[in-house]
Amino acid sequence: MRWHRFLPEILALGVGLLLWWGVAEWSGLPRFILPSPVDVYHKARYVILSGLLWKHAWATLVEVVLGLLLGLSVALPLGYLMARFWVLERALSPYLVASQAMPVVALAPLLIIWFGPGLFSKVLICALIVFFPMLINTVVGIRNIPSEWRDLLRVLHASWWQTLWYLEWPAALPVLAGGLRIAATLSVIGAVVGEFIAADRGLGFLINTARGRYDTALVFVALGALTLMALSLYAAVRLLEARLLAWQNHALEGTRVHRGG
Amino acid sequence: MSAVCPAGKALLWVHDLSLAYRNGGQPFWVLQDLNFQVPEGGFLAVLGPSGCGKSTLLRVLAGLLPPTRGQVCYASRPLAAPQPEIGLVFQHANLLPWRTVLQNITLPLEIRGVTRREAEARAREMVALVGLEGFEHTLPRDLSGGMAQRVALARALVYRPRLLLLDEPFSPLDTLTREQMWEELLRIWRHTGVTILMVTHSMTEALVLADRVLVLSPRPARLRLDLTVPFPRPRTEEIRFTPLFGELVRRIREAILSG
Repeated sequence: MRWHRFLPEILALGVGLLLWWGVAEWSGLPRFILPSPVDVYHKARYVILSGLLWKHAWATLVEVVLGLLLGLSVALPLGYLMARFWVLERALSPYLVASQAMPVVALAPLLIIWFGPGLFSKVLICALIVFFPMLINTVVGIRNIPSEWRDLLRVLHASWWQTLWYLEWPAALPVLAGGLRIAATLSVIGAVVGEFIAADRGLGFLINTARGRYDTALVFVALGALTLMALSLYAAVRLLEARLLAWQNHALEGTRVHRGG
Repeated sequence: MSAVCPAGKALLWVHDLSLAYRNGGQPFWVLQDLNFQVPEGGFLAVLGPSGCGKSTLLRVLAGLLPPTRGQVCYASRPLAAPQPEIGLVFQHANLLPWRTVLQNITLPLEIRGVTRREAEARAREMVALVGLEGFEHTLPRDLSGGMAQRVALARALVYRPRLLLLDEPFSPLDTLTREQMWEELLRIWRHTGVTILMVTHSMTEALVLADRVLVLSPRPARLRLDLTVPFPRPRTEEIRFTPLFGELVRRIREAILSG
């Protein structure tokens, strides 16, 4: 591993940590306002070894992933239908615009009243946050398919199902992947918001209780875990993209042919 | 749709074909009263100035657009929708960029439910026919314009159509590549016996390739000249430098400019 290739990043990180440590040590701020990196390290070590962090992180991850899947499974088919049938788009637009104008986060308390503080209400909040960007990307992805490609499939006598499979799905995939990248990080926000309001587990719940006890180091650990989770989801989507969209990516292709002739 | 399709030798029979786009209330005529026939195995070129409606004509003949008036018959039956026996090659190769050369060529067969093995075997035959061996697994973005157009040709031929419609397939290519593609196309035409209708704006291309040339007027496209090309086959490059060739070019030019 040529670690020195990442020297600028490592240096910047080191300087940042050092600054944080310096301010925490010498500023005279109490520990419950700003814990030092050392405190956070010890806290992290403790919650990891005791299994506490895993328990809460897992709960959040389940909400995030289920919410993402639920949001996708409604947004993709609906977006497809809206892209193909303008009547449907016209009919649904007022609802969609209104639902988008209303901040989903503010809906969370209502959902918890209706569906209880359990898993389902969190999944629903995540799904609602994910829904709109995925819907828009689906509509745009399907709409932007060049009409010449559609003509080709018509000339080849493709059924609507074949058109979906051979043309629309692969052609819209780059746009869908872009939406999914945003949706994955949004879903984490949804889960945390739900857990803030009412929950007995999850990283949002952990932050809330730690705050109540002025256990600021634990808040830092939970924040770090959330960041890591969002980054991992993002990376997973990128990995999926690299596999499915290799045809787009020049860097991944070995063979290049000279143009001309 | 008043006329009945005549039982006859013509594979494609076009009778009083007119087409209008309706833009608001006023119909906008693109094609007007076209009459022509293409015999089985023939090579017809349709020549006209840019924007005269040649591509629209081709879309009608492919079954993608219904005629506003008149009748189009294919194999003695009215043409109402795309036919499995008709192949269309677009002006720009129109390949699917996520599919390799071979996968682009197998697409029509996959849609027809041909087994993967057979589809690949037939696609490989086509790859050989258009001279692209070694590029089976190349993606379209790595192909030159000429190569992409060969793939498009192979894709249209792989399901053995009886009628091949070509929409200015060589106009994006440079002159030398283009002349090379003419030879390829004539070789494929001889080899497969497919009937070809090609739309072009190049007089040279039309005269070098076709049995017959239809000359259309600027929009709305009307038939200005129906010319039988007298050069015997196989034709050589030399015909382009004969006085007769020059005379034919002059007649076509006059037909386009008159009016």
